[in-house]
Amino acid sequence: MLTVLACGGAFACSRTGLSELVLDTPVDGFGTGGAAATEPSLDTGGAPPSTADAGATAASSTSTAATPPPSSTSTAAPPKAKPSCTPHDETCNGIDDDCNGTVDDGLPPIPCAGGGEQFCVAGRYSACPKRCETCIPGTERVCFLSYCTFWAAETCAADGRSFGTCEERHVPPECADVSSLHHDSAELEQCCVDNGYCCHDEYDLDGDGNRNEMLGRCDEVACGP
Amino acid sequence: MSIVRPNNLAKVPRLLVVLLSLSAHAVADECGRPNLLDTFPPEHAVNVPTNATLTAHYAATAEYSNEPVTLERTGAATETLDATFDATQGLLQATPHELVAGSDYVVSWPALRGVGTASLGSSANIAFSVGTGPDTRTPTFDGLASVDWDVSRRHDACTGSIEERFVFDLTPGHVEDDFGRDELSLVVFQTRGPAMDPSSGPVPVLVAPLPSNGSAARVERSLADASGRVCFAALVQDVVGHASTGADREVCATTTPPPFFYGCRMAAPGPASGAPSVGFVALLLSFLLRGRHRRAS
Repeated sequence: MLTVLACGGAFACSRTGLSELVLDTPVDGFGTGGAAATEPSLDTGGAPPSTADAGATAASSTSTAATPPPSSTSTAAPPKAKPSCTPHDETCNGIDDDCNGTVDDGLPPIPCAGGGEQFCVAGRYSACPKRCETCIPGTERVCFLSYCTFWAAETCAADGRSFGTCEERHVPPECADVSSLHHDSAELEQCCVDNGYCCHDEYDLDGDGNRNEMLGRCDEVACGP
Repeated sequence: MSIVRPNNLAKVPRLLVVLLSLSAHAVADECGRPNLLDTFPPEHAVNVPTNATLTAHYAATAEYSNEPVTLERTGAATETLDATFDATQGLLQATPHELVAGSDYVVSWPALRGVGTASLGSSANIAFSVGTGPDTRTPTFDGLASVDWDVSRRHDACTGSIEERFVFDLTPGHVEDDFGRDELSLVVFQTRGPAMDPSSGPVPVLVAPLPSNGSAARVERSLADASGRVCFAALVQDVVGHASTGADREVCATTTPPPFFYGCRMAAPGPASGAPSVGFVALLLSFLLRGRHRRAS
């Protein structure tokens, strides 16, 4: 979404989304930092947990202070009757099943086959850790351009979170004919896959609707299964 | 103040070329280098429990080929530890048979080789002192307390271009452990985000030393992974592997991805601040009228 800096009055500026153009209120991001909201999965003493969205402070709030935990509520507030709690075995569900005042406590982590562990987080077991997020830093995958050699490569960023821009390379001999005949095409991508390269699936050769994934021999590029 | 004389000018381009080539070489070296990032316990840790597992955290490209991990006890022999490597997290771990209470040690973490790079990563010798006994208690943690976000634009050593990332500064809440907080690690998970698979659980996004009290831990995410509503939760782990509670508490933010457009809304909410705005409008009108006049002539 396009974001603008709205200058309220004379020169007091704040960054805001386009839909919030007319607002003077500083919103997410710069200066004071972005929006912050704490979303405790409240211990309701056995009652079903509120969903995070329902229980959240509005995400566009500029407050950086955490919502105080239930135990630190003001003593001036009238005491609320605590719903009765029937103890059960603790499971990973965001509820204080055993009524000891702590949510999802005492749950052992689950070892992952590839290394690492799954922990109970926000009422669910976490995913197993992966070596990187998108690709192994410094590795390359083949991509395709609409000009010159039609063959190019994208390098994985140093933090493994994205690929860089698609930069032209010499087309390998095994795909030279396909390149000159079909140019930037599904045929060229198929040639890339068939010849053992790791290739950006720009033509969705596997038909899964994802044109941002990799096909071919990508063991040394992809983060894992 | 230095003055560049004419006869030295010819040397400047040559020097620049050398400096630029050295700089390019350094950048290329840093791309994917399997450096040692953190250790648990950290350098000069005191009061390390006798049952601690020693851990070194390497960059994602690191590969372990049975390089030796050695442990030297001051005034005693050096032993080579049996180590295991978790490539998914870059964690090299070794559990000594027995750490002697009150003793000083130095553990030597090796430099590792990496995937897709010929450069050897960094190594470290970490000195620490052992406390009086084993760690038997689980740390207590109130969960994350707040989150701030921003966008960073940084030159990337691998792609050679500017890469944009969301950066989230996460402030942990209160932490307690029987062996203090200095040897604890913070494990952060992204619990909500635009690219998250609903069928899989929260995604681990950071393992790092627990920041000092009141400081924040920084998590970076790609624009695709963190545009819009994003939530995080965290737990802490001690050097024995005990995981805390507190991971049920989420902090959330709603991010806006770049590009940002900077413009000005011309409005005058009050008389005091309105005056410059009126002046600005008058100036703008005068330029417009001048332009029309020139076109007319």
